[in-house]
Amino acid sequence: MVLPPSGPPDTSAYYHVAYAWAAVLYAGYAILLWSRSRRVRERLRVTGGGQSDRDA
Amino acid sequence: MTSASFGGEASAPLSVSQRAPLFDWLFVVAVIGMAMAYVRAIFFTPIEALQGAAQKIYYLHVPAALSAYISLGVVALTSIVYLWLGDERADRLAESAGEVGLLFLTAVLTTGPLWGKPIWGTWWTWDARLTLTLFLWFLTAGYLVLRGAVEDRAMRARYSAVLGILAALLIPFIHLSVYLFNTLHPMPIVLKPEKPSMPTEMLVTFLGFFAACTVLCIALIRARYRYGVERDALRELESAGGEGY
Repeated sequence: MVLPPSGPPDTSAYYHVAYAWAAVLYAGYAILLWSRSRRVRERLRVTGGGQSDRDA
Repeated sequence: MTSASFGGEASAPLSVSQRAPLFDWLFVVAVIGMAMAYVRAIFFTPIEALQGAAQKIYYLHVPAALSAYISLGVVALTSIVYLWLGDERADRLAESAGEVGLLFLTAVLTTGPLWGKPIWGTWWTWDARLTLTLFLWFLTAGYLVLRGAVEDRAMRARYSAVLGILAALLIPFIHLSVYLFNTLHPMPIVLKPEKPSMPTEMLVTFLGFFAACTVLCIALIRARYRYGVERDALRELESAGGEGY
């Protein structure tokens, strides 16, 4: 295959978007999970489920 | 297994899980590993001569696909364990792995078109591998929707275990689809019987990304499992409170 004389094609925009998107996706899921867990822990505390923890 | 034993098991690990942070040392290792993999791929890996910088999407795309396979493999194995032993921990682990599997499948199905557009000239094609991966995404999403739709815990676990096992059966077909069908998707470059057809510096980047992504996958499944323990304990407390009234 003949390489273009100007070097590789400029496809960097797609690569930048893909790397940024993947980082947002993974971080977003981790934040979502943390937020869900915080809500559940708060409700557990209110309903008395955390009582045994504080006593422990 | 009776529903009473579910409650007993759910409330027992509560105090332990509440004290344990949601994200532990493994998650920290995964974040550091992913950051290092990003830096290596962006700054220390050469640009491929024909595809240009878009080829670097490979380092994200393929490890995400392999992590999705691992997650859905865990769903299948733990579903088999649940159907065999009726252990609620296996069901909770299957649920956790299913959710994380959907995350990685989403990464695969979104980074793929970003690579395909500059190289194939199209965002999407109804090629065997792409279509089967999309089917797997829908099946995994359906698996999670099913879990949310069935009230009875034992029935939910049983139905979703069967769906989880059936969904995982697609994985070998997806991997072999490039051999079985006439497809636009490239053949495996690393996961094949012969030596990987990739320069060493690119292969090291790929393996680093794969290791970091696998650790991230395990760390997220662990965190999601911990959340599941807390949520089940809360449900147990609330239902016990409701019965009291």
